[in-house]
Amino acid sequence: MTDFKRDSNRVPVSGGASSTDATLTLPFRVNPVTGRLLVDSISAGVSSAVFDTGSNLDVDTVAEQLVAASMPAIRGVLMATPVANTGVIYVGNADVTAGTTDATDGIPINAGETLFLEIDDANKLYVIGSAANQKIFYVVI
Amino acid sequence: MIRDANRVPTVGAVTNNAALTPVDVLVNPATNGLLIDATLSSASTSFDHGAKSGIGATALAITAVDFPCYFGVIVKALAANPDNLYIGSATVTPGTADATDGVFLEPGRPVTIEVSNPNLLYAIADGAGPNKLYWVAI
Repeated sequence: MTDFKRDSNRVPVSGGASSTDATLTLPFRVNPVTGRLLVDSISAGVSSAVFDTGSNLDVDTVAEQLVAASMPAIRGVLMATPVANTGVIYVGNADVTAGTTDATDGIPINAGETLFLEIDDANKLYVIGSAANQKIFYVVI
Repeated sequence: MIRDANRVPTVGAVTNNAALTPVDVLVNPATNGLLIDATLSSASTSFDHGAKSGIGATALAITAVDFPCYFGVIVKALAANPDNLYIGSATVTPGTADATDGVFLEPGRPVTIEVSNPNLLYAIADGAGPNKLYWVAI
C-alpha cells in the first residue's frame, strides 16, 4: 500500500488502484515539465475500434449525402471511386458544387482515386458528380 | 474505494453502463499512468472547402476563408491545369528561388499540409495559366 503524498496543508494527492491487483493504492503522476497528468491509454495505437463500409452507387449532378444514416467515425472516412466512373465526384458540405463555383466547390475525386477525410461522421459528407450515375465506396474507421 | 495507509481513498467513478456502480480508477503500476479508455473520436467535427481559379505567375491566396483546422488542408490541382503549381506562404515562388519555392504540385496531384488555417496558403504557377486548385480544410 502506497501513501498518497501530501502538500504543506496536508492535502493528499489523488490516486487510483493498481490495475494489476485492484488493491495497491498508487498516486497519479504529473509531468513536471508540462504539468500534465500521465495517462496510459488502452488505445495507444492509431487503429480504430470502429469499422464499417458502404457505397453510394448513384451519385448524380445534385448534391446528396454520402450516406443518409449517421455513421460515427473515430479516425475518419476513406472514400474510393471505381476506375470505370465516367465523371468526377466532388466531396464537401451540403452546399458542395462540382467545379463550378470557387466558394463552394468540393475536393474532387477522379475515377480510380481515393480520399481520406478526418471527419467524425460519414453523414456530414456530401457528394456531387460532374456527370450522372457515378459510384463511390467508403470505409468508416 | 480502497484507501491508503492514512485512510485516504482513491479516486472513484461510476461505471458507464448503469452509472450506478462505484469503481476504483485504475493506474498502471509500471508507469503510474492513469488508465483511460480512448473511445472518443479523434476526428474533426467540421470541415470547409472551396477552390481557387485563375492562378498564374503571381502568388494568390487560395482563400480568404478563416477556418481553424483540426488536422490541416488538402490541396489538389485540377487535372487539366496547363502548368505546375507551387504552394507556400505569401512569398511563394514557382521553382525559381530556393529560399521561397513552394511545394510542387503537378496537375491532378494532391498534397496535405498540416497548417492551422487555409488562409495561410498561397499558390503560384510556373506558367501564365489559368490554373485551378481545390482545397478542403479539416
